[in-house]
Parts: sequence; structure tokens; C-alpha cells
Amino acid sequence: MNQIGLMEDPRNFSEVCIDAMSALVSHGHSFSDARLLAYYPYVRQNPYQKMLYASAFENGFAVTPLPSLDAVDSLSDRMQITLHYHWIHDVFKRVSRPREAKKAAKAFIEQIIRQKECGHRILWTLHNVLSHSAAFTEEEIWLRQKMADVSDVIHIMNPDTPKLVQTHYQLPASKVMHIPHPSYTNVYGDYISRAQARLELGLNEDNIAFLCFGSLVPYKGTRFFIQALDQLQERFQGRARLIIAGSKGKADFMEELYSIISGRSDIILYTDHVDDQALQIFFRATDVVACPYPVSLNSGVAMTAATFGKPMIVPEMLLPSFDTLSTGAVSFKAGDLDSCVHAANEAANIALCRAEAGGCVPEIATWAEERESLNISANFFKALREFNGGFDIANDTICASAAINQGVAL
Amino acid sequence: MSQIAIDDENGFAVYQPLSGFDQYLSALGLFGLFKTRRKLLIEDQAFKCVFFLKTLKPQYLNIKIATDGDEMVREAMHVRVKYFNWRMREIAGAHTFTRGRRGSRKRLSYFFADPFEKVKRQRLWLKPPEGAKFVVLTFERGDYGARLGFSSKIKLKVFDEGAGAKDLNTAFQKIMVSRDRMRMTWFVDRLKNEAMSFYQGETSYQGETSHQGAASYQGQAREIAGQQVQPIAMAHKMLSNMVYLWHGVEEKRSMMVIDDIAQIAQNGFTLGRHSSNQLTLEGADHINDLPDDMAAAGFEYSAVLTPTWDRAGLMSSQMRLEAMHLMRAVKEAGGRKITLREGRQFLARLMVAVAIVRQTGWQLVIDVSETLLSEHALGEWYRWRSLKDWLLQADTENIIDGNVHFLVRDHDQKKVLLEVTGLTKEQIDIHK
Repeated sequence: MNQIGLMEDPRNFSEVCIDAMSALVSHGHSFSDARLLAYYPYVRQNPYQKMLYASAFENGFAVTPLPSLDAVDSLSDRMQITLHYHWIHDVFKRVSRPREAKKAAKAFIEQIIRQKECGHRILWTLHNVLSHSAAFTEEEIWLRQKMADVSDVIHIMNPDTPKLVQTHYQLPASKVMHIPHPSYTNVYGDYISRAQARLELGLNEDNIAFLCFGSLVPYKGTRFFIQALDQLQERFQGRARLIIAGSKGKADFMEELYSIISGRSDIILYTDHVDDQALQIFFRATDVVACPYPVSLNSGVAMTAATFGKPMIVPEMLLPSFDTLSTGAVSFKAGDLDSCVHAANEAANIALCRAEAGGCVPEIATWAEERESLNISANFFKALREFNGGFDIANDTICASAAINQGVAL
Repeated sequence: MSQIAIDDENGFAVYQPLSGFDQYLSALGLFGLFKTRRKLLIEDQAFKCVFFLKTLKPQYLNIKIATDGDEMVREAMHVRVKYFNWRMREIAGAHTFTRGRRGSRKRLSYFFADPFEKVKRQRLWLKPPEGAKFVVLTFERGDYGARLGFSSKIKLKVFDEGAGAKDLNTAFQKIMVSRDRMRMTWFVDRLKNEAMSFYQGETSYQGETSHQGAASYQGQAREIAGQQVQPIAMAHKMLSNMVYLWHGVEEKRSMMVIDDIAQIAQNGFTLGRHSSNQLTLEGADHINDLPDDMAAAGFEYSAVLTPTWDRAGLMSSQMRLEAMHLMRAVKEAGGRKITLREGRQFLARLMVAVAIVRQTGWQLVIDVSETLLSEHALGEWYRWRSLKDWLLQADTENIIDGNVHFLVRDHDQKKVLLEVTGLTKEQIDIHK
């Protein structure tokens, strides 16, 4: 299987790059303007990467996953590409001790430096301050600082990112490129009515439904929001419901979660992967989406909430991502239960007062439509091109071979 | 350290694998025939035993399952239960005791494996169907990750209904830790009967006032340890334990029923969360445009309109359906006035009628001449000695509305009603 998982791919990375160049030229781009971008790591279940690269071809970029870090070594010396790194804490995946983590981080940075020396451009998207389940904090901070130093461009989605990460590491201002998180408009299935979705989840019309969505892991603040639910029940006279939906996490956390919610009939727990077509049931049925995270720079769940026109509660640090949204994103002080309850109350009021019959708040949905992935993707590539400037990815050999393959006169 | 050494260390070595002879007996369904007390190391193959059923009374098999791990393993083993008649023909679909998360596999009963040092007794319950003479039990692994040891005296015991603690609290504490799903289910039924044996708003059978019974059921459920609490709170706690242990959908549903009725008892019944009428039926608005003489005709609401009233179901759902029927009935009667009379589900009907009136602005006359001092139940868990008691406990602000009038038999009833509600004299009429 290739990285995208569609089929068995017999090509090596070098061949994929040649094909990508040919495709760009046959798509009508001049060879000198054509760009290649390889990204790492490829994440199968999260559509984020597909969304970010949605308008690559239209903007003169061909995008392909990087099958492994050393795959770039197989490229010819004169073929330079943009290497886009996402969740770099993946380097700690197979290590169990700080010493090993340090070694892995160092090896990774050395590899990035080598790639840079070979003429490749390094682009890094900063998804989190630190990885959610950071086991090697010190090593990760070192890794991130080095990555910031080595990268040519640092892509941020939350405008306050440099300020929010500065207690751990510094981002050189000259390298920072701000392109917001795309919304999920036209990404997920969205054709089921609110009434049908609520019927499927067993919600009555008088229930105020809150949704905690995403993999069931300790750092998502699910337990924290369950505490908030107790207070919300007083406000809503027992009519509040909490839907928790997402893939199962580690056994010990799941056991803890089961023990907390087994006595609660006001909590609906769905512990499985929610596919792109089923997702609408949860977001359509709900009134307020809760993102009760203790730390969060960016949130796909919050953007999904916006896509479905739902008010949301987010931690204060996430709010700058929604600064252009006039209503619908209500912030709370991370870890402060009263603040969270207050925010949930306010968000519920927005849902009750401003939502249309279909349960969608028009201002939020319109805001999300403007951030549709094609628009954001186009902005991303335009900005990247400006950063790349006159950077030429192709050499004469590739140029000629592509031209011959495609029969295009250069 | 070798596996044998580990076994010796934690005592797991007492479990022995099935011998060739055991397997031969198992193939014939005769496992345990010659040696009833067994301690087996469970391997991948299942083993089978057949029992002759002397009686159709509930009976059980005690078993213990150990694991060499540190944590309890859920659904570590399961037992397939098949009943047969005299001619050894299977009686299909008979074993439904342990329906749960895997509802489609009703024949299976699931068991936990406990860490070796803390292994507890569990029970496989059998309730033979009519005509059953034999039962075949097939023991299989459910979890292939952990090492499992099985111990049992392979002999069925008949359930002694007289056994067990009589005192509710003692029985509750004992059954809570038993992990015996069947006994827990029976105990919840017992609690249901207990709940109906005393009145809300009065001194309870245990000497505690139960004014807050409905209101704080969840809080009480959390304060149970060592305290005397209401049956509904005990049932909630018991069911929540069952949901945790077996992830059972039926127990979850029973818990929802309890929460739902407690919610209604505490906060009353509403049709929708918005001020607009969520349940407006086609043409209901049109009723408001009727000329005054037609509007005054009204509807005599003296019986439940829903064809079947499921007492064990969610009360709020029943009441919603009743509300829809009532709105249609009022429309067909061509009026905008409801007169509520005594009859089945009086309290539920009262709440439904009030909810409708609050949303539509229609008139409601509640005839309490026969019901003010008579007993009332709400669902399977709440009972009041009289409507007066209920009015004392209920949030009457939800009931008293400019459009609601009461009809009483005499001045004494009027006086009582004035005492327990915030009604004005004009809102109470005496039967002519």
C-alpha cells in the first residue's frame, strides 16, 4: 500500500516526484513555477492534510506524502523540494527513556539539517505547544526550539502562537506564516436533519445537548467537563445531556471513564471511530460543542463545530483562532470549573436564542464557509510561494525528462 | 523468570490443563461427571458439560475465574447455554438472562477473571424454559490475552428464595459486591416494590423524611455508603454498578427510566425548551381563533388517551405522546378548554395538561373533588398519599397559571387547596 492507502504503489519516492512534476506541467504550469511538496508524517484518519493541500495543483504545487524521513536521500542532488513537517513529536514514538528521546531528537534534527544542506526547504506546521501526551518534555522543548531554528518557514494557525509558546521556545518572527485552520465545509457528510440526528441519539427536543468529540484520552478534558455537567444540570433543570464520542483510548483511562459515567443516564457514550458520514449525526444533534482542553493551540473539533454552525466553548488560548467570529466561540479559563460552566451556559444561550430551526447559528456557519478548505489552501500555497521566492525546485534533467514524458514544449 | 516459576510464585500452578480423558468426556458432554471439583487452566479449546434438570426453578453454578494479571478482565470467559427437551431437541432462544451489550448473542453468559489473590465467586444463572430436561453448558475463553484459571464444583444448585438477607440495607450491601447479575436484577425488582410501599413527602419506612427523594436521587446515590437511603437511590446505585460491570444496555435503560421519573418528579414536565410550542400539531393554532362559544365547549379529559401506557418505559416519552393525543382530542372537540377529571395516571395527565395549557394559552379546569385526598402514583417509583401531599412537594409555580382553575367538592377542600397552593380564591370553584 502506498502512504495514502489507496493501492499498492510500486514507485519509489524519486519516481513519485518525477510523476508529480510531469503532472504539474501537464496541468498547465510552467516548469519554472512548478513546486513539489512532500509532507511528513502522513495521518490517515485526520483529513487536515488533505484539506490544507486541497488546491495544490491550482497553485502550482504537487503534494505527496514522504514515506520515510530518509526517502529524500534517494532524490538526485539537483532535485530540491519543500519538506513539510507536521507532528514532529512522532520521533519519540518508539522510545521509552529520556536518554533515548534525546538521542532520537538529535538524530532527527541532524537529518533535517542534512536535508537543508541538500537544498530542500523546510516548512514546519506548529499544531501544539507541546504534544498532548508529552512524556519527554525537556527533550521535546529542545526538539521544537531546534526545529524552529532550522525551518525556513513556520506555519501557524493560531495568530497568538509565538506568544503562547514563548515560555518553552522562541519562534523567529521572520519565519512565521499565519494561515488559519480550514473549516470542514464540504469535507464531512452533511445531509441529515437535526431532528433525525437527535432521534438517533435518543435526545428529546427539550434536552440541551453538549458534545465532547474526539479520541478518548485524558488530555481532552472530558472528566473536567463531566464535573461541569453537574452544575449545568442545575441551570437546565436536569435537561442537559452530554454526548461523548470518539475512539477508545488506553484501557486504564477507559476504565476510569466507565466508572465515572456508568451511573449517569445524562451522558451518552459512543466509543468507536466516527467516520466521515456518521460525524454529522453527532454535530447536527448537538447544541453546543465543548472543547474543554487544558491546553490547545488549534482544534479541529472546534472548526468542525463552526462548520455545522454550532456554538462552542474553547480554552482562552484557542480564542484568537476565532477572533473574526462575532458570536459562537465562548472562552473559559483552562482548569477553572466555574469559568467553564459559565461559558457553557453562554454558549447554550446562543444556541437557544440564535439557532435556526435546523439547529444552526447562521453567523457561525457563514464564518466557516469563508474558511472552506479550498480558500485556505489557496492562501497557504500563495503565502508559501512568497516565502519560497525564486526558489527553484527542478534541475535541467528533470525538466527535460518531464517535458519529454508529457510532450510539452518548455 | 520462567513461566513455571511465576506460576509457583502466584499459586497459579494449582490450575491444571484439561487431560485427554477430560477432553473425551467433554466431547460427550460429560465433563465433571467423575470429579466435580475442578481447577482448570483454560486453554483455547472449549469444554462442555450436560446437566439433567430435576426442576424448572432457577438454579445456578458457582464458578471462580482467576488471571495472573493485576487487573480484572471483563468478559474473560463466556458460557454458552442450550436447553433440550426429553427428545434432546434444543429449545431455541430460551437463555435470555444475561442479555446486554451483545444483545444478539443471548445464549452467552459472560464472566470476569479476577487477579489470583482476589478471585471472587460468580454465578451462572439458569432459568429453564417450559419442557426443558437437559442443559448443555459450553465454557469458552472470551479473552485470549490473559492466562485464565477456572475453578468450580460442577454441580447445579437450586435457588432458595428464602435465603439471603431480609433487611434491605444489608441485602443491598451484600449484593452490591457480589457481581451476581441475576441477584442484582431481582434486587432492583424488590426495590421497586419497596418504593411503592411508602409515600413521598412523609416519614419513610426507615425513619427519614423523603421530601427530597425525587429531587436529590443522584446526590443520594453518591452518599449511599453505610447510610440508609431510599429504594430509588439504591436501585440507581445498583444499576449503575451493573452498567459499569457488564456495560449492559438493559440496566442502562432501567437507570434512564429512574432518572427520567425523578427528573419529572423534581422539575415537572415540559414539552419543549423554547417558548414556542415544539409539539404544536397541525391546526392547533387555529383553535385559538374559534369564536368564544365554541372555544368554551372544551374537552373532558378523564382517561389516558394513549392506547398503551407502558409503565416500565420512559415516563417523559409516554407523556409526550399523551400530549400529542390530547392536543388532537381538544382540536377534535372543537374547543380550547380542557377539563381534567379523575382516572388512570391522574398525576401524569395533570402535568401533561398543564404543559399544554402553558404553551397554548388554553383553559384548564382540574377537578380535584375526588382526587385531592386520594393516593397517587407516578411511574413505578413514586407514590403520594394524596394530591395534597404532591402539591405540597411540587413546584406549584409550574402548575398555577392564570389559565388553570381548580374544581373542588366543598369549602373544606377549597380551604385545603388554598393552604397548600398559592392559588387565589377566584381560581377555585366548588361543584354545583
